[in-house]
Amino acid sequence: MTLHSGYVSIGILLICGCNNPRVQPDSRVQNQIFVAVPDNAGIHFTHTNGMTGRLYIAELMGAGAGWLDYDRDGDLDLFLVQGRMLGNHEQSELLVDWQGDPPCDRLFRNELVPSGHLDFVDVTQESGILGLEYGMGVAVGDYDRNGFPDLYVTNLGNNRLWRNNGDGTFHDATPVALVNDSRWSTAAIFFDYDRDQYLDLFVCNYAEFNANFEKECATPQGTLDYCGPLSFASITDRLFHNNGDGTFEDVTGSSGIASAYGRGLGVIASDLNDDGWLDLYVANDSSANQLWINQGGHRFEDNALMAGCAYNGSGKAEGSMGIEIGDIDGDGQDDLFVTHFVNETNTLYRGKGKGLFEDATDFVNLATASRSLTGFGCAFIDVDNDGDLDLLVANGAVKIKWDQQTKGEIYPLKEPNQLFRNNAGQFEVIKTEPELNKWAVSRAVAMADADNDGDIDVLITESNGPTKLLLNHSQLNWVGFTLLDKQNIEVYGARLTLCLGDGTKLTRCVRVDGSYLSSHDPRVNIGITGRTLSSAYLMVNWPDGGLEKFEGPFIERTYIRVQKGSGIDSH
Amino acid sequence: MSAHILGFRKAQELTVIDPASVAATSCAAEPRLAIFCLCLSLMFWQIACQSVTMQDVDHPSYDRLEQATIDIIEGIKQNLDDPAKQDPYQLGFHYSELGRWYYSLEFDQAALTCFRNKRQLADDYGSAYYEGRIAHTLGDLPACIKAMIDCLEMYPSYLPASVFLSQAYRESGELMKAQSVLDEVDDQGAAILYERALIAQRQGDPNKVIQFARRALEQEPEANALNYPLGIALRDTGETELAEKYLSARGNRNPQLEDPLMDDIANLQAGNRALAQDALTDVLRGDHSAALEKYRKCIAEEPENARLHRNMAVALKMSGDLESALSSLTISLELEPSHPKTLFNLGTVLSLLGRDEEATVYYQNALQAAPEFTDAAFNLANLLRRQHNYEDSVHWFDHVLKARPGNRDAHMGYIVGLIGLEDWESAENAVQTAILGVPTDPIFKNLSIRLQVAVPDRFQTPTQEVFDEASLLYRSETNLINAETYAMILAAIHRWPEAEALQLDIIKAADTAKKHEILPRLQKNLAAYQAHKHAQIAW
Repeated sequence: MTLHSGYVSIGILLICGCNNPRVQPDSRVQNQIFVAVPDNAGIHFTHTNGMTGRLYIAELMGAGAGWLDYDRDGDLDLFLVQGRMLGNHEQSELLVDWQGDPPCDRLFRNELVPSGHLDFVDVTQESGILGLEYGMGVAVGDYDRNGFPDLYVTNLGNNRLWRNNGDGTFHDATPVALVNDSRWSTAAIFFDYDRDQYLDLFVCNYAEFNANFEKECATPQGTLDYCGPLSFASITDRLFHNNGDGTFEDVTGSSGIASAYGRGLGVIASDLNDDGWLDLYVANDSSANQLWINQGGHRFEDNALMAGCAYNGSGKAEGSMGIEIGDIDGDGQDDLFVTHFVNETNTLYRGKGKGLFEDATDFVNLATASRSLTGFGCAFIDVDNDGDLDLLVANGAVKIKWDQQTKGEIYPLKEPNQLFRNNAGQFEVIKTEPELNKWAVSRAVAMADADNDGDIDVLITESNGPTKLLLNHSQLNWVGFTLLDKQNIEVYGARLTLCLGDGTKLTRCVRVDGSYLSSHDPRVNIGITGRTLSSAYLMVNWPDGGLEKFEGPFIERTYIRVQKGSGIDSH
Repeated sequence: MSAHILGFRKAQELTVIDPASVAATSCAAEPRLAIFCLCLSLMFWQIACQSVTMQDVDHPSYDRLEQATIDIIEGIKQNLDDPAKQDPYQLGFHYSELGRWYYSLEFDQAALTCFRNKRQLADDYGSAYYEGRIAHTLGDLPACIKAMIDCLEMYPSYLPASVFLSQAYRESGELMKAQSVLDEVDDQGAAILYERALIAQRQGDPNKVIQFARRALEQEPEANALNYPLGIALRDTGETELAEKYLSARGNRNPQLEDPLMDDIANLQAGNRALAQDALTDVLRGDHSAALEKYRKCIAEEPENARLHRNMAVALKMSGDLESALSSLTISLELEPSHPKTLFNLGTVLSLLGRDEEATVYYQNALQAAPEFTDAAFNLANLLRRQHNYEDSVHWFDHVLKARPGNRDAHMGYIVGLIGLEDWESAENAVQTAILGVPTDPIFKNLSIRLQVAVPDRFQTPTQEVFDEASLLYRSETNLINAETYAMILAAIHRWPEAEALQLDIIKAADTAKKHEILPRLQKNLAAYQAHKHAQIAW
């Protein structure tokens, strides 16, 4: 989020929600949590997957979205990843033609600050970003520590590192930084695995794929369909170490990351075994997931099998797509959630501490509702600001649905999204959300407080369809935090616990990664409806291993900046 | 295409049984691709005498389904057209048949509707069971539970229904009910114990998981699906090493449970299996391209069938496409980790690619998974011998010979390994064992002779008996090996000119036969004979 000079250890950054200009829902939607925004708040973006009827697997997979305050004006801007033609085809062969200019990645500036109106303006051209590849995902992070967030865009083909110049423009730093990967990359994250303060880069790669040598696959009914992941050989993910001078070094081999891999689609970084070093959890499509335990900042070892999160509770590898982390039951342990293919369940791996997990999907009532759908993006969001993490899952099939096909759907993969309310660790589907119940081929979920009102809004991308911004109008009571290091640079990978006077402890991960191909709001919002912040204090586990206590008083309905070193060191 | 339209028209022609009204509705149908046809909303009518309402069936009219459905629809039409023939049981039978077809082709929603219609007309345990299974797939646990209870009311001892009902209760969090379903079952086989283990897992009781899973594994050791929950439970009780062992041995094979109803569905799906069988026949008769085409079709239908990927890899290997074979085997291994045959095939392909060290590891892993896998032991032994690791090579050849005492190549490898170790006494014993084990192969007699006259520092002047034997071998089968041995014998008894002359002939023959790899050895021995020395062969 925005970084201001004249910094104090804990300061009020943003304004109260009650004064916040926002889009008011009409009376018909008063009982809904999420509402569509008129004109989509200016986000006019339709993803194209370049489909020609040839049924390439790659056209199923995109694309992602990233929230970032690229101009540091205090509101979150939006980067959207675009597809294009695939294979040797003419534009005339497209089943859904694009209008106007050829499709490319887009940057939208949020005009909320200072205009007071939530409105996004397409600033792609003036930003200097020219993303013409077949895009997949985006990672956000200030890799050069100049205070402005940069972008790493993954593609089916060459990836791009867009360095933020700090003046509203970006330039392509890929050749200098040496972070290209020309294979099929999907999710990527910036994280500091060796605690040198410089964000390193992890890139998931999916599979060997060449649209010019595509395979043909058929359904059990004998008709043509998209090939599944097992039709393509998996390839290694990559880890790039940030040298701190604008360049990176590929340490995939020496770090041990090359020793195990699948068809990677999702990744999160968190200290999953509580040893003070950021670990990685990688979601792979139709093969074992990896839990890369950081061995002191030099090497990683995959411990997913013993940790109990490589396979589901029956020991089966699932078609993992999206990934999410959060403490859903308030026990202080991070839980992992992974979305999966139809006929599998989405899986909730409950954290047992010390880096161990157990499949608790049935236990938290998440199995049945997901069996008939294919999940992609996902986000733990406290949608009603009641202090526990609810769950949003974006769904969209990857195998042709014959009933849609025979009704003339050109892209017959539509499914409804799902919102689950967390009731004391048990999830139940909220069926009263018309915007989420609309059938679409949804992919990414990127969450952010786009209108700075203190509740979390969501952006949902569609494969070959329009991107939608849904505003949350729960508000109620909340408090937000932005974590900064001693040089005022945003920190990812910390874990904070808000300890309330009544003994309640609310733990949250500070991160932008997860979901599917996306990057979230780096701020942490904690719902405190029905609670008070009097006598509250904050415990922060910094990603470098330090534990720090921050005393209040904290002001409700505000974003509070928390700077490392300004609290009470608990070590 | 005409078949689809025919089916549609027939559906439209269905008439009504008085006094019920029928609204034969059809989904809007706009085929985008020729291969796909229309969605036909088939039937919606009431049968007054039954006072039941049939549900729409969204009829997917693809080629493979069409003839069967046309026949069934024809049956339904006749049933409805002729009041004299109106028979709800017959109609129900048609629905049941249609449902089984749909289910076999994974048109779950259509199948579900058919079975529900059937149950309204004439309930039966089979339709209830199928309804329960499909409802589970579609994520409707309450419907699944209800259908399974119905099934068990009609057929209380149908064990798969009990297990499935327990599973559904477990998944819905009703653990006491899940347990009580199993308590009512007399059977305490591995499948029941497995389900009990899963309930215990859900209850958070690792000790019970261990207890049930171990008992199940004792009954059915090959049910490797038990290994994973057992491993996790062992981990949670602190038995880390044991846990790792079981977790690593995880697999997809559930305990066996006879389920004739699902076997029926599987039989309908057997078309794909027949194709796979044909592909295997193609492999066996050497038509690799035909086999590969069939395997690709099979895999497109069953992408998670590890055996298909493995068999396709064999066809690819035999057709010389080693890299593709490697990819297929990698997929197969992902699907079935620790499968010995996959590990074995990975070893052979890597070996052919010259990646001997990796191949060695895969053979070792194959043997770890299946210690009695003799082919893996043999290939590993050979590979180790090629790497001059004679000690381990001898160990594995010995392992093979214990299982296959008549294996000529294993004897040869074992002897060569012992020679490599310069364990002459053991080598001589091994040769004698080989002569007894493979009496028809003269090579071991040949080796026996050579061991006497061509081993440095162990030279013995051959006896008349040995000389006669070598002479006989040479004359009975004049090949390079026998000739070379005879030349050695001639040299050993100091008949240098004859040895030299014979050796020159051997060299000429080897050169003609392009056996260049043995020429240095032959030349070396020729030089020895010319210098009046005994042969010293490189083994």
